[in-house]
Amino acid sequence: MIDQAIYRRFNHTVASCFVIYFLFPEYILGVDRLYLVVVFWLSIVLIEYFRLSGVFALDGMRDYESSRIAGFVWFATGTCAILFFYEIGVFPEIFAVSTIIMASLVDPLIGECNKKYGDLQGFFAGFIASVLIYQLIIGSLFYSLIGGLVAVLVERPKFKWLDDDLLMQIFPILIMTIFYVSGLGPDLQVSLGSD
Amino acid sequence: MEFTKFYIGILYTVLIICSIIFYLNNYYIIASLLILGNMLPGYKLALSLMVKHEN
Repeated sequence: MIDQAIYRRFNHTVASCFVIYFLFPEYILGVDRLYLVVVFWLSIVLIEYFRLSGVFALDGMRDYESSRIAGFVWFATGTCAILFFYEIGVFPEIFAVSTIIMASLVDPLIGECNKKYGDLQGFFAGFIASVLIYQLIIGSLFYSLIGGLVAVLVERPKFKWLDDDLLMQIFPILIMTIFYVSGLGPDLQVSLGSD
Repeated sequence: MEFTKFYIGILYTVLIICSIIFYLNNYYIIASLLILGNMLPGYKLALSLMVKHEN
């Protein structure tokens, strides 16, 4: 018997592997890699449609997800949105990579800390972890603090038809990009340079 | 259940391959984050898979 909570957490953290997309060639068998994102997202939506229709059941779902859109759909939507806006030149590469990794690793951490130690500790653990991840990848404390703060702030509110898996990706990268593009934030190398 | 175990096997494989690819492309920090971030949940999940429940 699989521990459903741990299974759910592992599914979430493994989503950090989505960043392998940035190492793909621009054209795969002559097809723009952006189409891969669209096909992937449509596949997720199709799976969710069949799950909600009762055609099959998936392990690791929360009870309340039996009648509403599951977290993995929100997460995939957020990631695909980031990849789409990156491809059309809106989001810088370094923000996209760091935000996908941050959201996939920090959200489960906050969930576990909330459960074991309380909401305040979960908030601070999430903030420290997200700042650390941003700092390691972006290397700018300014963007790390802003991204980390926005990530944990949008994780707090719970909406029925909007999930933190989506918000934790879209809002931090959006705010960081606004600061970067407007010139309010420091300049930095936005392409993924090797370490 | 069998499908879930198969799917978990795929997840472990994808994780290992992605980490190796990032490492080989000199993205050491990203490779390390993938490994470290998945280590604890991956280990706990492996433990829960090994536990046998008897009725």
